[in-house]
Amino acid sequence: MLLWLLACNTYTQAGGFQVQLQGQKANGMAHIGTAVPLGASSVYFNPGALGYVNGTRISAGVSPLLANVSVLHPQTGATSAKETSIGTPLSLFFSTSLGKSESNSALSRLRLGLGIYTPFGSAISYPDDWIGRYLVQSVDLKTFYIQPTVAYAINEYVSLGAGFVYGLGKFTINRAIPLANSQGVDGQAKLSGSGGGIGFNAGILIRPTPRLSVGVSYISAGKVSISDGKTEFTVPQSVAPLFPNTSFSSSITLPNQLLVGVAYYFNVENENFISVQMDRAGWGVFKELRFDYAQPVAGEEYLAEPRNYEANYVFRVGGQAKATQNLVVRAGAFYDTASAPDCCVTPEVPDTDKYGGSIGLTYSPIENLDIDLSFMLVQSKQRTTTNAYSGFTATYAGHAYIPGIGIEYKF
Amino acid sequence: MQLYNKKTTLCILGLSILTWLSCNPEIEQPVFSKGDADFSRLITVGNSLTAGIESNGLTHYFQEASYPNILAEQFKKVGGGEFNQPWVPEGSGSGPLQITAIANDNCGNPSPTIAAITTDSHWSDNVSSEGPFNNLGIPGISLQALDNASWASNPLNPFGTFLLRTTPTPNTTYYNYISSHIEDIKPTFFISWIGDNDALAYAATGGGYLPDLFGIKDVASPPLTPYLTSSEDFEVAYRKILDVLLANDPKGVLVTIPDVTALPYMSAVTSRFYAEGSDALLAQDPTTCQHSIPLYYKAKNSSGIVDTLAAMRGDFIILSAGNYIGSTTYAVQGLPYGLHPNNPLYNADVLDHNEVAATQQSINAYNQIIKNLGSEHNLPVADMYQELNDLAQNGLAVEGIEVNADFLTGGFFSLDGIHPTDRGYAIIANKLIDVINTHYKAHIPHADITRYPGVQFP
Repeated sequence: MLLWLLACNTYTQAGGFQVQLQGQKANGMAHIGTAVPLGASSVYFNPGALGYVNGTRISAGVSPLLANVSVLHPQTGATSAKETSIGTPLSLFFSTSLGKSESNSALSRLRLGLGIYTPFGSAISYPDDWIGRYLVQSVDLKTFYIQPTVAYAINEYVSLGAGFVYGLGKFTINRAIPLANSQGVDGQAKLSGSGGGIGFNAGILIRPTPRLSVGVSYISAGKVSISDGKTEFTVPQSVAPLFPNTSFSSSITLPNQLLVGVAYYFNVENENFISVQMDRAGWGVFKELRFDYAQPVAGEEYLAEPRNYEANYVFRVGGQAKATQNLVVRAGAFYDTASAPDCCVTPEVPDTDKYGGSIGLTYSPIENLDIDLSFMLVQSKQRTTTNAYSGFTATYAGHAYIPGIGIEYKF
Repeated sequence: MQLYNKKTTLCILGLSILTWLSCNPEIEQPVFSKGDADFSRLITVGNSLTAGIESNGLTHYFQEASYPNILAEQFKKVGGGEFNQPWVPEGSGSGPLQITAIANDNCGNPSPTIAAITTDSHWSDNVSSEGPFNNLGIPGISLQALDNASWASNPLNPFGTFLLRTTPTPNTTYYNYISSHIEDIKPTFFISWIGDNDALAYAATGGGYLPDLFGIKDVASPPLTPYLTSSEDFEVAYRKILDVLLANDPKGVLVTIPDVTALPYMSAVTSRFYAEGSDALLAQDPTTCQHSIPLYYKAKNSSGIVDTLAAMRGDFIILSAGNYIGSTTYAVQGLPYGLHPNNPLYNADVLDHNEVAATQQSINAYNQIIKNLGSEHNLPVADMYQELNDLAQNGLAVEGIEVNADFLTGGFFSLDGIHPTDRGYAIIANKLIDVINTHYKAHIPHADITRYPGVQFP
């Protein structure tokens, strides 16, 4: 069984290589979370909402990605599929209130929180000899955001919050080089690097009436600077001087995110609600992928490939309802636009419009323990583009199945 | 027992679900078709480009990557038939060039050592009994030599062996060779890419001079030395071929002649001497690496007198001369070859601007004739002249590979600077497929370029 779980493909959802699986409760309703205080995961979804999260909580969750991507090269009819590998977006959240909520003191309206989550990631590998091997054979990108947060509920109508984000990123790219040796074997290139950057996450939750709430949160763009990237080239011996294993520098700006949501509660206990949310990721910052070499490689000082991404939007609707004393059920649906324009789609990020839905539940065997389960289905719309830079034409299709499990404990 | 069965059932259920989940998404496969064409019996007529020559040699491996063979493989996917070529035995064939080492000269310019590998002694054994052949490309053949019965057996013709080994009788003309094959095979489809040598033979010998057979490279006296075929002779010969080729009403494609001055054979050595801000070609001083040393060559000036001139942009120095420039033991002893007015480059080593103009004028005239013949017979014309110029000017990006017309690193041209690499022939085959798909409303799949390497490095 475990072996079969391992024999699953990984995938990235949402625009570009953004991963949107940060909270297991939210995952159960298509990642809705900005307009409602969900628990400790509000650290991510809306630091403002954290102001209305009571008690001391700790939550952890993981969402193994089971995804498939097929690539058709239309001119030759060759089809390829991504190879199996596993990626596990995970999240860990902690929140606490400093004073007793009964006292209604200023301190009791203050919350502290900490979140560790993976907002961007990608782990794709194609067969080593596939037709697109000079573009990519495998790519592995991991990011971690660590976010200490403070929130303050001004009154029952408005709560604000903000967190400082420290981001870490690490990646490896493997591709073949079209330089054959006397046996006809291609060269290989491997680039890897890691770096960090800082940003912030701020949000506000407004409850104009007891049944309505509006949430807005904003995560700033994160510029990850890589100063000491490593290259590893394997080329025919006679041209090896042209491909020194030099270091490189690169700066990758992870886009900002704006989340805006509205929720309507069906009961005063605020357990049953329906919410709509719009997420916008400012992918316009991702204009090119550029590596500056310390020493020239093949006569070039840098490698720059245009990406020219555009902002992407995700439209979500979802909700939850309390089914029994210790069971809450959830459902949601979403539509996610692509960020990559026609000129610049590449097989390492087969970006297409996506849509899907999810279901989830929270089971509380004892009063302070929540076991969150979710299952999300993502369908990619088929997309055919010719990359203007590399001359690679492909039709991409894909889907993903994402089970999730999480635990939240309230002290 | 009960629990075990439940577990097994769950396991099987889980495995089946996971198997179903891991099915790859279906993308509708494109439907390939032959359209109005019929590829049952393909014939290709032409010269070394059609035969599959690379790096100045023919091997079994190169023949597998000839554009006619690549085309035939793609045609098979839409009902095409078998394609027979006059195979040389597996191995080193006629002994193509190979890079043995790459070093940098004093000024940091890459300087490859290129030498021919040992010929396979059986490469020229007669294979006429293995015909008839679908690939009728014969290296060195030109429209000029179409009816020349002694072309194959002439010992002074370095290409004669290529026809000698594929015909039963030594005095066969290329015209008879083609006609007998057309009669045997009755082609349903053909590609005709002939006429290149009518300009290239002149250009590659620096304007029609004897190859260095007797240590003399300045003798030019037609018809012993290569000369540009006249447009009239070109047209008469081409029509003769078309008459026999079109006898059974096949479909086909005509291909234009590339601009031979765009080949790395002309530009690779010459570009070493381009200096910014100067119209003169200037070699680098070995110590300062400044472009400061003029190059001298012999040519007939406007009065017809052989004179020593300084090389300018617009003059081309052929690839093979590059090994000798600067040598003090070549031509005139004790003086650097080409870099001293008293040891100028041979006529045969330079295609000067006048000779360039004459060559380009001929090529343009030939291509106009080919295009006219195309419209006359309702045959599509693949414009390789335009494609190669595009490649030289703009380069080409295909499946993540950047291809251009640079010598060695460009990926398109092989080590002789004239013939394509495997990758170059695959690109040509795909361009021809595009023309066929458009004109004959077919949908033939492209060949996978990534399976065909460019120049191979040690």
